[in-house]
Amino acid sequence: MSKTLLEIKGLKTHFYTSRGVVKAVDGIDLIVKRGETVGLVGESGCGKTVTGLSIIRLISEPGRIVEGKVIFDGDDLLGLKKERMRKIRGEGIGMVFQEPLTSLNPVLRIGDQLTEAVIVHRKSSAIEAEREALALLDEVKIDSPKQTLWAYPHQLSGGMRQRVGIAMALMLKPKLVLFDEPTTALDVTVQSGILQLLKGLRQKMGLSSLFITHDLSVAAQLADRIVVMYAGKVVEDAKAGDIFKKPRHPYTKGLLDSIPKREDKGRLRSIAGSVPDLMNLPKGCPFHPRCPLKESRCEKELQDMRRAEEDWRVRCWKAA
Amino acid sequence: MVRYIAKRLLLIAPMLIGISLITFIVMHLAPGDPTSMRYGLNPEVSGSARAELKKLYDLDKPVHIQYLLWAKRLARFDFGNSFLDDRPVMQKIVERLPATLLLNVCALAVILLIALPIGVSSAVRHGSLYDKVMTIIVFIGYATPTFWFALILMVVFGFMLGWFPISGLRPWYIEYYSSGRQVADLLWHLVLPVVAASFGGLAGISRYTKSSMLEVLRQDYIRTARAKGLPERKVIYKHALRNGLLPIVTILGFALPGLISGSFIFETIFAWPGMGRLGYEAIMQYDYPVVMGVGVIASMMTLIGILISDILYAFIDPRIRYK
Ligand SMILES: Nc1ncnc2c1ncn2[C@@H]1O[C@H](COP(=O)(O)OP(=O)(O)O)[C@@H](O)[C@H]1O
Ligand SMILES: [Mg+2]
Repeated sequence: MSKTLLEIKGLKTHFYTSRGVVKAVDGIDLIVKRGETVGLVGESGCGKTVTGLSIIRLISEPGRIVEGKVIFDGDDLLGLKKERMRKIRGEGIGMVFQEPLTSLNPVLRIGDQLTEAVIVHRKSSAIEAEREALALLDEVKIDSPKQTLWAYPHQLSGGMRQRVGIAMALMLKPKLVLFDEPTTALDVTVQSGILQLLKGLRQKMGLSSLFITHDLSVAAQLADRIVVMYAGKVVEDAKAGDIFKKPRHPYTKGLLDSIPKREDKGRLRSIAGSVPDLMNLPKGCPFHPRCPLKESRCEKELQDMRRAEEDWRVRCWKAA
Repeated sequence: MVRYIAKRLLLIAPMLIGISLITFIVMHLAPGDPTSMRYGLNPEVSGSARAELKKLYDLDKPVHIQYLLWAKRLARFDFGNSFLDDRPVMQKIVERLPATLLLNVCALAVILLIALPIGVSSAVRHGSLYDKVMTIIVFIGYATPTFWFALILMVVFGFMLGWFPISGLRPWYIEYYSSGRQVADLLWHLVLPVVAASFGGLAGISRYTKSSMLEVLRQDYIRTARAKGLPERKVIYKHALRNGLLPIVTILGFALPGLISGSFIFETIFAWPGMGRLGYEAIMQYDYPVVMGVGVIASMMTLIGILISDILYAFIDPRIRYK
């Protein structure tokens, strides 16, 4: 069995809106090895969610996966028949979404929403499925699993709902879990509880996951590897330990510097400027208008991803 | 849930008061007063009959007392007797109510059976040729005056093709039929009026269903359902439909008055022995007590319809059931 579980090659997902083409994901490469957690990091609007949804082919109109490969466990998902792809969703790859408030169906009981995937995919009986759901609710540290099964989403707090969302993604024991900012919508205290839970689950179940977040400090707690995305492209890809010690891309450095530190006393340092409009990207390197290191070459040409060191790739003319 | 229903019932009370007030005002805004109107049109009414009418409507009392007495009679469904045959108005209405309910319930069922699938399938296949064709058909339906459509139905299927009877509900010969054949005959008589009465609602409800479903299909929880690998049919009929129906249930409550008042037109066109035709004929003959009675009962039916839709809503939406 190969060590690579997921390999994305040259993936492009564009949105054909009436105002123009949004190149939300524009040729990214990314690898998740078995047992590994990869943090996909970047400011909001960089194309992280679109990347996640492209993997399980849930991009809807006006979006389209234009080219590339998504090789999961040996199969190119982009070439699979619809029915095969449906089996992969849930069974092969689970996904946890950003908004616990809106990601659960308001008119169906939690139990129903948890068990339905098992019933559909494995043809389990309702009782069997319910037993599995109870076990998982316990696993995600929900105090009263029985009552929770009978509850409707609006009766649970945001943190509880996100735990349910996590349990839901794990119901079929998928080989890969995509976490799309699972803590972003939650209060800080609730956030740390969920992060604790995910750390525990990762150890216990040996999860492989792609962990999407705009917050490098969150990624720092979980990821073995960090992939930094900017304006639809990967700009840096390295082992977590390395990248936090010595970020090479000025964007990564900017993200790292904007993590609030104790000595800042609440001052927020963020990268000047904002993510460019994906419909009108600046020429050359899309980060150059905000880049402290920019030189004339950066305005004309975009550097390819290149090897900076063993197992460390970066997309910058200036990065040593 | 119990609290929710109790609250809805409490809300009905001011509406009932509103109905009683409005009907009272309408009665007094009519040119002259009920007695003179009838009197003016029928010179043979004796002076004593006139006095009797005055008494029936308590016209000799001060206006606020008149209203209270009117409200009291409303509470007992006592609308007095018809000018035409002197039978109690309520009795006449009760005789006609089943035919009206039959027509409206059938029309509503037809609307739902046709409009919901059209709306759902158009939303699911949004932008397809099917959706475009349906949009055009619905648009034509929207623009067609319903009474004109009823007359066309009558001419084409009644006179020219002779497939369906164009009037009435229970002809005299029905007594001689077996019970099975009686039901068949009843259905046969129902066809044209029901088609005519449901036509107006079809376009509206199918459009509402489509836009409601389109909205729901964009929601995050639909994406969650798909991410679990559920088959599309489950995503649509289990996850989307229940949410998509919520606004429709509300709209149906509000569409009911339109349906009921519309059915008055069709009852008249198709000589349907319902409450609407009773009201129409009463208006034509200045049969005041019957007009008021029919008006009040139709308003109450509307209130009941809204109440049912509220309860149905709570039934589908747990956010209301468990508050
Ligand atoms: N349905 C859509 N239609 C048009 N543009 C979209 C759509 N979904 C996402 N985008 C665009 O794709 C870009 C990336 O979005 P997203 O992946 O959600 O960013 P994030 O990194 O915050 O998760 C954004 O600029 C967004 O405007
Ligand atoms: Mg996102």
